Amino acid sequence: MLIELKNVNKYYQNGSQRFHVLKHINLAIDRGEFLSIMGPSGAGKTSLINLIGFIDRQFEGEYLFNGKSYQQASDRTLSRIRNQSVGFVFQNFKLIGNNTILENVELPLLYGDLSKRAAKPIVEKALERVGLPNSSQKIPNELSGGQQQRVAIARALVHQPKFIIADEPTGALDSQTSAEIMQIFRDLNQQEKTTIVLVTHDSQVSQYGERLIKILDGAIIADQEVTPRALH
Amino acid sequence: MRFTEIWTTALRAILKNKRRSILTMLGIIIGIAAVVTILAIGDGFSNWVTKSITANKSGKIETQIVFLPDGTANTNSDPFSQRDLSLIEQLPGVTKVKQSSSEGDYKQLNLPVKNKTKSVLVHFTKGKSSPVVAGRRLMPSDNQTGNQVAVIDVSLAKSLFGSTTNALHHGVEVDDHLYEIVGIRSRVTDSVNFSDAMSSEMPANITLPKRVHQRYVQNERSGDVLTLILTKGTKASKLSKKAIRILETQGSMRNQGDYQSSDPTTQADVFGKILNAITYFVSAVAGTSLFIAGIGVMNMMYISVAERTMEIGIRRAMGARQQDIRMQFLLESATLTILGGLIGYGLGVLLALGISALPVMPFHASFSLGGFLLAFGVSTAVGLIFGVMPANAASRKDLIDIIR
Ligand SMILES: Nc1ncnc2c1ncn2[C@@H]1O[C@H](COP(=O)(O)OP(=O)(O)O)[C@@H](O)[C@H]1O
Ligand SMILES: [Mg+2]
Repeated sequence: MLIELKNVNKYYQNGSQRFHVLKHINLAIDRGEFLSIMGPSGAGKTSLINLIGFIDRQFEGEYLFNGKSYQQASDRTLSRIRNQSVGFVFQNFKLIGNNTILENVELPLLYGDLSKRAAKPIVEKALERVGLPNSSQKIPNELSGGQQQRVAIARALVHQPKFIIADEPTGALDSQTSAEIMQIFRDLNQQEKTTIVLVTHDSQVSQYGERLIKILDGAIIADQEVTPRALH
Repeated sequence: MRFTEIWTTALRAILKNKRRSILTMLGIIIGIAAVVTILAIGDGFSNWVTKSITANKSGKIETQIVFLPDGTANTNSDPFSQRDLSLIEQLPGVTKVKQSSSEGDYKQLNLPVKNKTKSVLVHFTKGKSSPVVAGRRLMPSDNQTGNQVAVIDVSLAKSLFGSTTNALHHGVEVDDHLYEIVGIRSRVTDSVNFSDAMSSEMPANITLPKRVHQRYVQNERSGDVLTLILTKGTKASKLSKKAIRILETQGSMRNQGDYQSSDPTTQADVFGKILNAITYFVSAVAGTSLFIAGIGVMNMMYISVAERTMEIGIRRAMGARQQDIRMQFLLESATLTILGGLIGYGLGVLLALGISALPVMPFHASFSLGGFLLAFGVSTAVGLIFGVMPANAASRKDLIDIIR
């Protein structure tokens, strides 16, 4: 198993109130899987994948990555895992607005100790792959929402991580663009065998995956295979 | 991340916010410029002093002590006794002591001429005076026999007595004593004629026998100067102070006047003291300026960290370690102050050059590698010291709080 969550509970402390956001989560994700997570707003989807992506360590229970727990790991170790193993596509692109596309996408490579010079051709290739050739010198604001999301995906895949976490990557996009974006994820999963965990609102989008988890009020209420019927 | 990449990132962040960066740098620029200016001028000054001391004939260091008698002084006694001389000669660092007179051969005098005062040049001679047009010259015998006589020039004779013949055997008053005019010399003009240049004697309006004049007025001044010749490396001002202290306690004339040191290097010492005071003052101002600038830098860095919370989160999610984030902001802060320091250094150089170009300045500013390194080091230190806290704050931000 690549990822194993065993009886994970998470609470948010809001002043004196303790909010139970993730309830008894048991989840195993294998290498090469394409998993979709669906649920209404506020169900705890983002909380769950932040935990999986080593962004959040404040939880109870056990999280094994490649069979190892990193709950007591140092900042250095966790940073390295984030850098080497995880690709993030955040809910609202989260590109650094002051930086060029090149400077945004090269970040995982630079933090992996590559030089700018060595990173550049790799970045160009990643941008080509998401359908944005020759845009490395632009800044995010010059791009449309769909293009920005492509940049975010390029940034998530540029360093060939073990798995990619995408939080509602099509949430702000029209259905045509959504389909194009989802095709990129599917190609990535099928050609490179990259594990993908994708959060979505949209049942149409969830059809791209091979497995679907439904979350309600912080608990997993369904875990099923996706039949490719809804695809056109 | 590699150091150079972190540094590029930092530089870019500074350039993206030019106006704010420049305003923040201002204090650094002013502080460093002030320090550099005062250092360059101070160095230039001490170079000049060393040069003017060692340039003195054959590289010897000399200093002088003058005896200034008060009213009660007995004008017949020698200002320095033989014992005074040997006392000073025994001081370590003194190789030789010479006694001489401060009295010169020329003196500028204001003479009342027809209700106006006229500035005239008086020449004291022990020998023959220049050729005359009427009457006779002064002779060495005038000195020996003590004749109270004078030679004046044609124009002074005319303005005092109407004509040259009238002037002869009248009196002219110099330092409260009347001298009989025995000769009239050719007109003294500002233009130097050939024979004057040959005789290396300045044409004077009045010429007097030197001994005679000294007897009346300047007697107390004969032999009133001691010239101390010092061994190399001794500080003239220190030694003359020592010598004066000895004279004030043991000198033969200690009760009849004051001893003072008089030499160009003590003047330089005074100038040096003033410069030192200015240096301390400017350093204090510069230090304050740098401190306030440092707080400005800290403030700007805190703002920068707050504004870029999301950027920090993104970088952390992409694998930046806490130390990478800390380094990024620390380098940003240091780069900012180093830039300010370099600009300040340039400004300081210009200022120092400008000041040493002023006509009142007798020397040139001097620039050293040390001054540059100091400017560089201080500005770097300000950036690092005042950047540490914001950089730490940036690195300690909790990832989960900033990624939402
Ligand atoms: N940092 C936080 N502090 C307190 N409450 C939070 C925090 N983050 C999320 N929540 C709450 O937890 C619940 C789940 O949030 P989230 O995981 O973002 O859900 P989803 O992504 O499914 O919309 C929401 O009610 C949200 O308001
Ligand atoms: Mg969410």
